[in-house]
Amino acid sequence: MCFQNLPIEFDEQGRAYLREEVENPYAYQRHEIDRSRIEELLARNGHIKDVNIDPVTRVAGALAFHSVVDLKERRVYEANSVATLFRGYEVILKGRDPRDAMFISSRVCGVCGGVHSVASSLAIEMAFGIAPPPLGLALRNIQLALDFCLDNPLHLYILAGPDFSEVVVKNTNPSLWERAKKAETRHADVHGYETIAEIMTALNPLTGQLYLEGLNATRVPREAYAILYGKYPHPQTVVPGGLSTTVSLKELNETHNRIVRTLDFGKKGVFIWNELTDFFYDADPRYKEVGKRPKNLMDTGIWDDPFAYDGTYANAPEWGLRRWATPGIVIDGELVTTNLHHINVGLEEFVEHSYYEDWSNETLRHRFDPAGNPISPHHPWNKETKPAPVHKRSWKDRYTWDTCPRWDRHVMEAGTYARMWTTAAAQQLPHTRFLESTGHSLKMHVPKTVLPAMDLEWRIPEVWNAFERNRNRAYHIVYCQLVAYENLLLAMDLLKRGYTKVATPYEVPQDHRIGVGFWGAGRGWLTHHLEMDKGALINYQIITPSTINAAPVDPFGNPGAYEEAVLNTPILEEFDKPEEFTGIDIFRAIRSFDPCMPCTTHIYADDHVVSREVNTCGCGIE
Amino acid sequence: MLIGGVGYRWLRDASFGLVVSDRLATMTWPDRIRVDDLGYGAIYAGQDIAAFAPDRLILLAGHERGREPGRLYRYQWQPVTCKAEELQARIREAGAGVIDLDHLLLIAHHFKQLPPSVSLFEVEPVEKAGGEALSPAVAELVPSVIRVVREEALAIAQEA
Repeated sequence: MCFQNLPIEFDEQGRAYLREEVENPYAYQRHEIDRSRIEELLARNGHIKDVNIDPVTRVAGALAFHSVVDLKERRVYEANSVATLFRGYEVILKGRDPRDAMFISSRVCGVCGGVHSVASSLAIEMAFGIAPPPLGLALRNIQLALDFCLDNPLHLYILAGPDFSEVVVKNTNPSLWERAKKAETRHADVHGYETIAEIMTALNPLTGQLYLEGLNATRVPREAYAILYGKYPHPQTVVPGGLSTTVSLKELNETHNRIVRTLDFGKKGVFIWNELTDFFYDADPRYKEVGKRPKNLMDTGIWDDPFAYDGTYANAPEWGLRRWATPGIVIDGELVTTNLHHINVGLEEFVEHSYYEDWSNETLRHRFDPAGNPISPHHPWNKETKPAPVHKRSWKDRYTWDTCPRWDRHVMEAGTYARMWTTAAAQQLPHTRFLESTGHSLKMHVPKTVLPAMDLEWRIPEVWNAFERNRNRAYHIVYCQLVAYENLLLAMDLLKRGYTKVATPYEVPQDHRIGVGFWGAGRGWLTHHLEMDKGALINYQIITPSTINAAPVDPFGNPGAYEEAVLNTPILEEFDKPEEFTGIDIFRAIRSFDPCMPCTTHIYADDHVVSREVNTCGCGIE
Repeated sequence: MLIGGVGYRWLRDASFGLVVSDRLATMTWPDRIRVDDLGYGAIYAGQDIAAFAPDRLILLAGHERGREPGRLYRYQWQPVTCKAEELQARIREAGAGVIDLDHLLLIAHHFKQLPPSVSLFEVEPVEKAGGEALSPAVAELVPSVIRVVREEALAIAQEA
């Protein structure tokens, strides 16, 4: 029994059904947000500060964050995550040839276009009834593992790393900096830094050694990615049923050369982030509360077994379990399902606090998924994107362009860690050349490069917080490198055995079809749900990791993942006067999710919601 | 020489750069001129510019700078430096997927990825809501921008 809130049960054959005695199984009572206490506190107390971090990324970004912080009690009373732009892709895709989806949805993001292209192609493959040949699947796995080998270092060293750098720590927590200068590291033999302070200095933005190495570390996997996908970040060779390019040993050798070159940086990163995390925990155990939230995580799994994936919805539970990352839902730290059907039917999207009209009172298009399992009126296959901008943002009512995805009405979180957590807990991993799932950890056997061969082990953490998210991301880089490496060896073997086909021919069906692409991004969960008829898309719905993590309060009154993480964050920064407050603990909490806001939002910028600071460089305009 | 469009797609006039670079990319060019879609994160776009190592860069974009809308502004970019905090904020945004002409210029300049000569062809958007079509005023500019960019690029290539 994996559902606690939705009235879904299973028969002896494992098929889901709705409990008969429940008259309206998906009905709910909307919980109203009560801000009276916050408003009273703000009116009465000078030390309670209304902090608008707008936008979080400060210059042209799409994420704003509002919080009410009590600087005396050092706690956060209110937190609202605000997506400031409307993502119009679902509207743009309606009425188009389904094959356009791979190219259009790739533009959702300026960083991770390939994952959208591939999620699209999976949805289309399901709708068309096709699957790539084994070599096509192995190449897809290589490319989309390499994608994360550049995405994750970018986050750790360029986006989040500076929050732990000398320049920041010295300013926000001088006593911590003093401690760091005396704190010896345990693995200088691997990473070369003798003290924690040296690591912090290396994380300094723009000048630090790790910052610059992190930047360079994105280059090599990106080159490998472009060898087969034509270009980054918007690949040109992804087609439903495989790849539109041919591959020979030459391309595989070039890819091999680059994968091997990334391994040492991956190994080093694990030790860096372990050292940093342990240092903060030792210095002040309250750092375990920064970004803390319940262990509710979701992932669809990723990287298909070339000999198991058939693209069908009917067999999704089986091919899902053959993936290099096991699909799964974790509730309160417990893995409750690994079945892609269960994961899909528990999915709902709400818009009570978003700038969208509800669609659920209109005609229900689908009561069941293609396997006969019940789905909600709020399920993506039933959803319609109906933008409804408002002229005044209201923390009680509507305040974001993000929607509110939930699984079994739980507040969920997506990320690299969800992927590794479900894989580690499930013990279903069929590919054990370099990886081993133990039930409580994921062991990684990393080959020798310049650094010696290593057995690294990511353990499911006891606490769930900002530091563990970042620590996991360091292990995730190695995980992806090994998935890419194993698939490369597989691809070489396939080529040697004469399996040279990389794509399956198809025709665009003209009858009614539906499909879903269960895939993943560098930030975790990614689904594309589509419905088509007469050769054109009639509905297209995208749920990205940042849609999930940046979600607003749900209709049941529960804050979204970013919001919850910030509400639980203690203010540990050292300051005497309110004007010295920088909000670093809040930033660490939010950034630990690796927010990718263009994925959550996009395209339509209406004057009344966009906060934009334009920095003109138009000197010398003719 | 590298000619590149910068910006998001399907953002009406704000997508002007990509509309023009897409059309330029369909034309035949001498070997030393490349036309590219640079509509992605500035960290990576900068790395790609550096890898190509052009002697000149022409960037096209629809970009709001508070000027008269619907007009073309052509100028030579004069390198400017910004404060480290601002630069890091821009890098963070670029790393989080934000596509922005100034991000590209400032970040690529900081990492010494730009050639000495950077020419900008910008339009001040009239319409910037979601959608494919350019506003009539900006659409009218497209043929002349294509002509001018092509003539200028070919002339420089010939000189070289």
